[in-house]
Amino acid sequence: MSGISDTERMITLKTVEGTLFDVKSSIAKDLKTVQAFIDDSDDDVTSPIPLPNVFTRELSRILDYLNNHHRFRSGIEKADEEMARYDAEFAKSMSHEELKALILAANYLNVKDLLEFLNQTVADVIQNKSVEFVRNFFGIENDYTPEEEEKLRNENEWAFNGVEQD
Amino acid sequence: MPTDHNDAARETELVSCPTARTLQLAELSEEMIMEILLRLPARTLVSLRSVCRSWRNLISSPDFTRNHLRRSCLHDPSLTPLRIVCYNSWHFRSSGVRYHGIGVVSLQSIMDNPSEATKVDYFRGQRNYRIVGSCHGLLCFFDDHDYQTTHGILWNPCTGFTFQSPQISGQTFSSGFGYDHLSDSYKLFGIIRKKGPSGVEYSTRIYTFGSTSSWRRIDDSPFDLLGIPTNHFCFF
Repeated sequence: MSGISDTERMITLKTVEGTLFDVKSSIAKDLKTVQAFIDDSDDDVTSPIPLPNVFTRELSRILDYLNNHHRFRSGIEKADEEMARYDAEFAKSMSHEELKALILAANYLNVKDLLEFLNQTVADVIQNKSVEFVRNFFGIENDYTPEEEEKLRNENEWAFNGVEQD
Repeated sequence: MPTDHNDAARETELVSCPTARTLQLAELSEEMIMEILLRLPARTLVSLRSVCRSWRNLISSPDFTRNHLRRSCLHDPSLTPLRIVCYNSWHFRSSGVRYHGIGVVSLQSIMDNPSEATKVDYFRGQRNYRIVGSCHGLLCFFDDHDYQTTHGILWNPCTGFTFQSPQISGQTFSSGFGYDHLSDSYKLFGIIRKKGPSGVEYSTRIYTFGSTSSWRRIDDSPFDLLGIPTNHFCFF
C-alpha cells in the first residue's frame, strides 16, 4: 500500500474552530456520520463538510487512531502487538477530560471501533475506584440524602471492599 | 447576575477566540454511560448504584441486566466470574442452635491468594437448605421447614436479592431449576412426595418465580424421571 491511488477521493472536514482536514475516503468510511452525509448527497461532495460538534484536538486524535489502525490492519505480521502498544499509549496520553471529550466526538461521528476502545478504557479506569471518584469523573451530583446513602452502603457492604484509594 | 450579560459575553468570546474552549463541555449522555457500565463486572455495578438515583435506576433496570448478561455470555465471561457454592452448617453447643448457610466464593480469589482466607458471601438461616441449581448467576435452593413443608428460594449472591416461592407440603426428591426463554422467567420444578390419607402420593409441580405465581401441578408427567433439567428447561 503506497500513496494515494488515483481512485482514492479526498474529503475535507471542517472543525468547530474552522480547521480543515483532508481525509482519504477510505478513512472517512469509518466516520459513519460523515459517510452518511456523503451517501445522502446527490452530487459529489466538494466543499468542506462542517462538523459543528467536533473540535480540532478531537478530530486530530480520531484521524490519528484510524490512520494507524488502517496501517496495522493492512500490514503483515506482528501488527497485533504493535496495535496493542499503540492503543495503550493512545489511552495513556489523555487526561480524563480529554478522554470524555473524545468519547463525545467519536459518538457524534459514529466511529464504532474507537468508541468500543474508549468505552472499555473508561470502564478500566473506574473499575476499582470509589463512588466519589466516579461522580467527579462524570460530573454527577449526588442526589441521595445522607440516610439513603448510608442504607445503600450497608446493603452493598461486600461490594465496597477492595476499592482503591483515589 | 443576569443571564443576558453572560450569554452575550460568551458569544463575544467565541467569535474573537475560536480555538478557546469556552463552551461548557457537555457531559456524557445516559446511553454513553450505559455503554461504559455494560463493560463492568457485576460486583462493581452493585456499588455504583450509590452514585446517584438515575444510575441506580439504570443499573437495576431489567433491560440493563439482560444486556449485561448477554454481553458477559458472548464477549467477556470475566464479567460474571466463576463461583463455587458450598453448604455449611454450624452447631453452637452453648446455645444448642444449629445454623445452616449456603456460601458463595469466587474461584478467582481462591486461585489468586491460595494461602489466605477467602471472603465468602453467605445466605444464612436456621433451617435445612438443599441446593437445586444455578442459572445466570442466580442460585435456587429449597428451604425445608421440617419434613412436612418446604419452599423454594431464589438468591442473587451479588446483590443480595432473594425471592421465596409459596410453601408446599411434602418433600421434594427430584428437582430442577432453569430459565425459560419463551416467557423470560425462572422456573423451579420438583417431584413432591407427600403422605396422604391413602398412603404416599407423588405429584410433579412447576413454580414460575413471580409475585402472582403458585405451584402448578403437571398431571401427566412420567414418574420415573431420571434427568434433572439444568439451566435450560426441556418441556415434555
